[in-house]
Amino acid sequence: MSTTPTGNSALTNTASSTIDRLKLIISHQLDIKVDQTEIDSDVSLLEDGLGLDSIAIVELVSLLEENFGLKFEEEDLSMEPFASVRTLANYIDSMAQEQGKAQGLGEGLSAQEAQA
Amino acid sequence: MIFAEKLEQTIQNAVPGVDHMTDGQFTVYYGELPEILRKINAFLNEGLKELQGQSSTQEAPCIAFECPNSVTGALTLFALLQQGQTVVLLPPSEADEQASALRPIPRFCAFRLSIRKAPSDATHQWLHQPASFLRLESHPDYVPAPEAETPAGALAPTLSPARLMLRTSGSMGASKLVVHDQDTLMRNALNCVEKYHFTREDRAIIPVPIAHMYGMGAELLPAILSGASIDILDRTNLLKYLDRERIFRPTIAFVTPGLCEMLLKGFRTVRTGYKVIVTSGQRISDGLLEAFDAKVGGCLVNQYGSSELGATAACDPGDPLELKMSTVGHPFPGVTLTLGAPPVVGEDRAENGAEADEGELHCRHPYGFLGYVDETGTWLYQAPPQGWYATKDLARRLPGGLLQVFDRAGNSVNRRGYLVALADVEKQLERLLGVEPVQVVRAGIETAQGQPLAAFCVSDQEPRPSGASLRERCKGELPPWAIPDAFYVLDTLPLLTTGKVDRQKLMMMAANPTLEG
Repeated sequence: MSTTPTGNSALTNTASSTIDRLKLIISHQLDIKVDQTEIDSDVSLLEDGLGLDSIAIVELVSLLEENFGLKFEEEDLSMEPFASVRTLANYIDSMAQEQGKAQGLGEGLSAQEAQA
Repeated sequence: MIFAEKLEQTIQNAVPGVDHMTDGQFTVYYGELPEILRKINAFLNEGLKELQGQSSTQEAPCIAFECPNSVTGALTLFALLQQGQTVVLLPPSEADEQASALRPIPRFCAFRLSIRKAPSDATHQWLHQPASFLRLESHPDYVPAPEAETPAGALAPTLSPARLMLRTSGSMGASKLVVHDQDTLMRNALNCVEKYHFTREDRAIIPVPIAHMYGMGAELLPAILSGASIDILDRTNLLKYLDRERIFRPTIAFVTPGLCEMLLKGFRTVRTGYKVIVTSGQRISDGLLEAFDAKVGGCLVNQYGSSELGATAACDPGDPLELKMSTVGHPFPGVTLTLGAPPVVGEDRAENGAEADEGELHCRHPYGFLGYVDETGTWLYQAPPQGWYATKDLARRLPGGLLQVFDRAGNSVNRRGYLVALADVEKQLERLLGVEPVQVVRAGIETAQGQPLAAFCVSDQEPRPSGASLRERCKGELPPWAIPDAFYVLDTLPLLTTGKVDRQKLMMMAANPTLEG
């Protein structure tokens, strides 16, 4: 599976390195003018902070899906995870764990099946 | 006093613990309304008395109310309407504390009323303390509105009985105020109740400003008058909307084409809970209407309306998609329309069918506006009772009375973030340059600065003035964004066989200046 390497690296990432990756994505891949070093981990991504509008949020979500090999469901589109870079990093880490677990479980099963 | 009566009914019929208004931070159940509104009105009456004691007393003082999209904003509006207090309804100034950042209010408003933002840890008790969320100040530059001194009965008093005024979004800077009689405004809202079937069981989500005619007149008032629950969103973004939608489970929503586009990106599953979603503001593209309509289970309708007339026409949610894409449906109850020149008073061409099927749309709305006043409170225009209102939109009437409105979006463009109506620019240029007619058209494609414009006119002066000299004359007279980028002086304007100016040809000339002459 081509996404496995990213999935695995996301699994081993600590929250702080996810924060750095997020900042990089926001400053380099998103169509907004902000420097990576200027992004405060605790500032809001929305109106009172970086000021990402709805279009930018949707863009960010697809970038996150690409970069982290994750799938955002509609219930993941909520104010809470997007409160700050830090909350989003935590959210991504737990998503990666869950989706990775599901994936790993699937692989484990098939491995067991192969053994059986 | 229709509002006070209907509000009483809403309160009487409210199911305790169910029927409510919320903004995410505060929730007020309708059973609580009498007590809260009484407290707001007591605070206002006391404040007005105190402030008026300092200056000259006036019979019917007008309050400029800056109404944010919040429960406190809506409650205050309800309290003012319940008392029949004449208000100018304005969107809030952005900054909360800085007086320098306050937007100017009309001169004839004796008071400015604004809402303080609640601290994030404020409890429900906040709603019961109007002194904490209301700020009432006298207007330092207040000058009373002039008394109407024209022949008896020619001019209605501007400030009484109860009025509600809205600023129009004039693109030329000088704004005017649309004056509504409050009772008439409520009948307009009741028209929307009927058209969209607002009921007590409904839940209306309001992601558009309640300080504008659309959000207030077509959604907030119909909702409260029918007893429907209300969720008011401030500075709507996709994530906020989705969060609130999950909790509130709305059955009615009023949106704009911009919001449709935004929600389309976030709606990953088809919505089945909505009864009707209304869009308005500007023309929505067919592709967007079709895509969003499919995402909301086919309940999207496009409403045609204005600050002057309120809701004027709309499709029904169940109408076929082709109909919803190409028309704005039938006029609202009581509204009559005519295309081309309005009929002479006394004749009713709309009835005998002898009128054109296409032309400039004129409306006669039984619940329309009273007229316009300027910033001093002087009538600029008083709408005659049962008079025709020129919408300046082109329209076509299809068999069965369906209305097709077009060219509306084509009449205004974005210039450096300002919405500029081409007709306004034309009028100002005619006045300023003393030539008539002036035609302003789009010149080529939109850039980061907005839509380039070109102005065309005819001059019999010798020597013929240069385009550049005309443009120079506009500087300092018009806002920079309203001055077309190029001016052309022609011998004659190209005409269509109908005798109208051929704007398409002008647009081609503007896009390829070498074609000129």
